[in-house]
This record gives sequence, C-alpha cells and structure tokens, in this order.
Amino acid sequence: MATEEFESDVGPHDGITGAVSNWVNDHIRTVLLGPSLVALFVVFIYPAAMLVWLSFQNTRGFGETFAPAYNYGRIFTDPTFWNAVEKTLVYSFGSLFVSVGAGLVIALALNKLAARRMRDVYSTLILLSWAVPLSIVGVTWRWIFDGQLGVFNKLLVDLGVLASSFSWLSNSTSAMVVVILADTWSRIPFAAIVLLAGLQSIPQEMYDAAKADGATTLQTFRHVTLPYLRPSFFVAGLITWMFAFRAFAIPFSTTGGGPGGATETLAIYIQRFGIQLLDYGFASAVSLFLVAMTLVIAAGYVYFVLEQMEEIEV
Amino acid sequence: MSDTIEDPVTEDAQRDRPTDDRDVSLRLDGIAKVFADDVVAVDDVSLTIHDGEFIVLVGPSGCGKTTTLRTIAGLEQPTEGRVVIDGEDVSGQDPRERDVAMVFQNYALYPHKTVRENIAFPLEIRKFPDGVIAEHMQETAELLGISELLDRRPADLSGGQQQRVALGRAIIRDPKLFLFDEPLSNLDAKLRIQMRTELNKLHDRVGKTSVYVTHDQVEAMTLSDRVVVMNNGAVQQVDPPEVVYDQPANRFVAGFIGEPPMNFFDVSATTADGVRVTGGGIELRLPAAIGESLSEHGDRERLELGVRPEAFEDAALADESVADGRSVDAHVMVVEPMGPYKDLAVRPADREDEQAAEFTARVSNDTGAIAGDTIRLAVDTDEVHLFDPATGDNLLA
Repeated sequence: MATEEFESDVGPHDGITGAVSNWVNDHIRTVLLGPSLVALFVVFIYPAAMLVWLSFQNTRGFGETFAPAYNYGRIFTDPTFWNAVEKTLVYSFGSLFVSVGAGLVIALALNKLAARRMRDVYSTLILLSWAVPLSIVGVTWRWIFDGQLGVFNKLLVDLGVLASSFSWLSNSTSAMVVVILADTWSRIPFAAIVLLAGLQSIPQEMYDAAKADGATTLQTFRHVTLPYLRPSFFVAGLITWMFAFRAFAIPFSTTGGGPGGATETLAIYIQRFGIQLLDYGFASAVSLFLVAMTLVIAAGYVYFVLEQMEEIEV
Repeated sequence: MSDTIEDPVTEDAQRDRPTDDRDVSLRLDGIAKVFADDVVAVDDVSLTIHDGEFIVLVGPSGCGKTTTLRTIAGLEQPTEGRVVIDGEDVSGQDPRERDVAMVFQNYALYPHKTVRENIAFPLEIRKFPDGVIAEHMQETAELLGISELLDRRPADLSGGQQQRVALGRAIIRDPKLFLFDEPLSNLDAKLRIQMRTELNKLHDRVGKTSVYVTHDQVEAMTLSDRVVVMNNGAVQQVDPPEVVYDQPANRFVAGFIGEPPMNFFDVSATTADGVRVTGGGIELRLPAAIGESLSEHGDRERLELGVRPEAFEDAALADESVADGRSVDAHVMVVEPMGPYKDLAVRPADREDEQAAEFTARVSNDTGAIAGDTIRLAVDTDEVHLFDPATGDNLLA
C-alpha cells in the first residue's frame, strides 16, 4: 500500500521502503537490464572468456601451466589440423553447393505446382527431413551406406551395377561424399523453402515479358529467375554454409571423422583433443580459430554479395 | 459455337466491313478461351486487322480484352479458334515464334539490367551482332528521347521514363505486331495524356499494326483507327471511334462509350402521328426518318430511348422557342460546372409521383440554371437512339 503511494511520487523518500524505491529510481537501467546481463554473462561472456583463458594454458600434462603462445604454435605445426581445415572446407562448401542446388530444383518444382494446396502439403513434407535430429540423420546414412548390410549396396548389387558390396565409408573419397550427402539431406528443406519464397516474389509479368521478348525457357531462367533469386541465394547460402562449416553431429555419427581423418571436420578435431585427449587448452585455441575463420569467410561473403546487390536494387 | 468456326470468314466480313484493301496483318477466327474453373473469358471473338492499323480493345474489367491480347501474343493458348499473323496460322506457337512485341502495364523491365541492356535484350537473345544492336539502339533511343538514360537502371527512372524504355524494348525488334496491355494506367493523369499523344505520334512514325487494350474510353477514342468494344467475352462492335460514338451497335456500347454516359428511358412509342415516344417522365416527337427505320424492324410498343447528355441544351439559350415535342421540362437538382459547359443532374418536372428517372444534361456554360430551378431543355431529336429492350440492339443503326 505504502509503496504504491511512494511510487506514484517523484523525488527522495523516507524510511526503508523509501530507500529501496529511491535506489530503484536511481538505478533503473541496471534494474531493467540486470537479468539479461546476468544471463548473457553466464551463458556467453564467462564461457567465451574461459575459452580464451584456457587457450593460453598448456594442458598436455597434469594440471595447467600458463603458456600463451604454446597452443597457437601447435596449431600451425600439427599436420592433422590442416587436414581438418581442408576437410571442413570441402565438407561445408560441398554441402552448400549440393543443398542449395538441390533446394533450387525442389523449389522450382514446388513453384510449378498449380494447386496452392498441394504446394503447401509438399512444402510441409519436405520440412520433415529438417526436423530429424542431426545425429539420427548421421546414423541413418551410415546404415544406408554400410559395407555389409547397407541398402545402397544391396540396390547396386541387385541392379548389377556392383559385383559385390563396397565399403563406402572405408574409402576416403566416398566417405566424404556420404557425409556431404547426409549433411545436404538435412539442409535441403531450408534452402528449398527460402528459394521457394524468392520464386514466389517474382512478378508473373516478368515471365510474360521475357516470353514476349522471345526468350527461351533457359534464357528466361537466366535473365529473370536467377537475378530475382539472388537475395534468396545469399540468405540460403550463408546460413547453410555457416551451419555446415561448424558441423559436428552428422559427420561424427556417420563416420566418426574416419577413415583416417578423411572426414574429420574442425568440430570433430576439437572434440578429439578436448574430450578424448583432455587437451582442452589446445581444443580451446582451435575453437577460437574456428570462430575467427567463420567470421572472416562469412564477412567476406557478405561484403562480396552486398557489393553486387547494391547496384541491382531488385 | 462450332458452326461459326467452320465459316469464320463470312462472319468477319459482316462484322468488320473492311474500310480499305491493305493487307491483313492479324486475323482472329472464333477465338474462345475457357479457363480451368469453367470461366469463359473469351467467347467466339473474330477480328480482321489490317496492316498499320491501330486497334483498341476496350471494355469493363473482366470483359476478355486482356485475355484476347494475351492469346494474340501466345501467352495464352485459345481453347478454340485460330490466330493468323501475316497469313500464317500461329495458333499453338510460342510467343518466341510469333515475332510480336508486348508492352505491359507495370513496364516489366528487368531490374538488374541497365536501360541499354533492357532495350537490347530481345536482340541479344536472338544473337544479333553487337554492331547491329548498337545501331538499332541509337535509333530507338533517339526516337523515344531516352539517349541520356541508357546507362541507368529502371529503379532510377520515373514511371514515364520506364514506360519509354518498355516501348524501346518493343520497337527495337521491328516486330510484326505491337501489343499494349493498359500501358498508361500506372501513370498519373497529366503524364498519361502526354504519353497518349506521344503514342499517337509514335504510331504515325513507326506505322506498325498495333493492338492496344484499355478500360479507358478516352484512350480508346483518341488512339484508335478502330475501336473494338467488348463485354462478357464477346465483341460488341468494331468501328472507327466516331461511328462507335454516333451509331452504337447496342445498348451496352451506347452506355459504355461517352462521358457522362448516355441517359436511357423506358418509353412506349406510337406511330399514328409521326413517332411519338412517351415514358420515364418525358415525351418526344421524333423525326420522320427515325420512324421509317424503326418500321423496318417492325413496329413495337416498348422501346428503350437513349439520349446523350450532349443532345440536351438549355432552351432559354436557343434563338427561337422550342416546340413541345422537342423539349423536356426538368427540375435541376445539381449543377456541375465543367468549364466550357455545365453538367446538370435533373429530373423531369412535375413528375415526382411517377417513376421519373434522374438523368444528366450537358448544357452550355452560359446557362443561368441553378439547383432548384425548373428549366426547359431542348432535345436534339436527330441524335437520339432507340434500342430493343429485350436484345439491346440499336434499332436505328
């Protein structure tokens, strides 16, 4: 009751409740922002600072010793690190191109559906593969391509394409193709939906104009569809790539990074050092490196695309 | 419908009354278009259009004019009938094979291309050599006065400039036909009038056969060599603009062409002592000639009388007194000064008890009539129209 009275007034007050009220009034910003700041600190700032701090520690033996340059030096000398960087780039760009490409094909097909209701039904069905947890996706694809029991081998042998089963996940090239396919499978829906939205924003009049100008279907696609889709490609591509670049669950549950590191992405590499070998100082340094790389490549991409789009203003 | 398609030429001849012996540039034979949901957009449209003619398809929304145009372009395939361009049956062909150029309502410029690239596009995709394209480009740009804009992008242009670029893209190809789909309706009023005049000049210079779709009767009247009035998917009349105005084929055309629209009165006619029509609060004696042409259609009692607002005049301004059979006493309800003339919303005087319809009279600006007055309106009885109330046909045309 009394507080109500106090709060309705402005200016200093007496008594204990008055003191609280005064303090709240004087520190209103702190009071309002406080909970968010605490949450931010707990889930982001502290772990991030800890990561930086740990990356300066030598954790190879027992305990930690402060050695700021030690882990970073190792990054550049460990050959398996550069292997992981290479595999991550192949994996992420492979996934980017395949999923955006396949997403475009699906989006074009969905866009062709005259009946709006069927388009909605199919769009929803396609989204299902997005909803499957990534580790389940990985396990599923591991079994599809399993050397002895895989359905893919069964299919090829039955069709007479292969004489006997092939160990897809034991060959470094085919293993990479399989993990990219698995990754793609879970990312196509997102790309397809983003591109479908882009396709639906293209005015019908533009297609009519291109046809009347005498363009073939292919020319119409090149001169109308693709230019109009550029912003959608940008969004779908950037997000797909950023997720694939940091992918862990799919390659880990499909191949575990094998054979012989052939599908070891940076995320698996970090897990190997940080969790399996308990060398969390080094794992922290590599994590920071991964963050930096993501930022640099994404920023370069954004800059490149924005510069292109500036002159278009679709 | 099928028997008309078997013999479309006869019907063309009846409907079109070709005014010249120029080559036929475009012929539509019994075009019909039924959409998937059984909507009949175009129903048995036949037209013959001559080389260099400017034809305007006009009608209310949904009358089938745009579908007809898209059928000519090849953007729609007709359910029935044939499209013949320069003597070649192009039904079933893609737009690409028809060599027609189309200008759209929203200009439909490629936003990522410069003006130059937009205009050059139809030639580029046909793999014309760069030198030829540059030459055509210069000609086209000069013709349209857009030479300064060539390196800009559509987003940087005004609506009028964008429409010029769209025209340029059509002209540079030197196509067999120009098709226009309401090209001026997105421009503001002043610019629309200006562009209308320019289109007229452009057509005089380029001289290409053009088919132009609009819902604006002023565009139809000012641009066309012949107007095609459409309603409910069917052609109502094909004639030069003056004829469509002076001799509308039926009640629909009479009511659609003209602003303010024609006034209609339900009348009964007696032919005992000349033609005398009575009804809707008015009573007129019509010239003997009208009685003659009326009797050709067989005498009838019920008629629909059409009088354009322009056929009225304030009798007080006439030199001599106006006879009873050629005038209407009217109660003035609203006066709308338009500058050179005044539009009066009136009702026949002393007829409040009857179903006396309100109508519009366009009188000279010198009239002293104000709202509340009762005035005598002279009627130019040579300019009245009589329609069959059942079929809507003009009984005098």
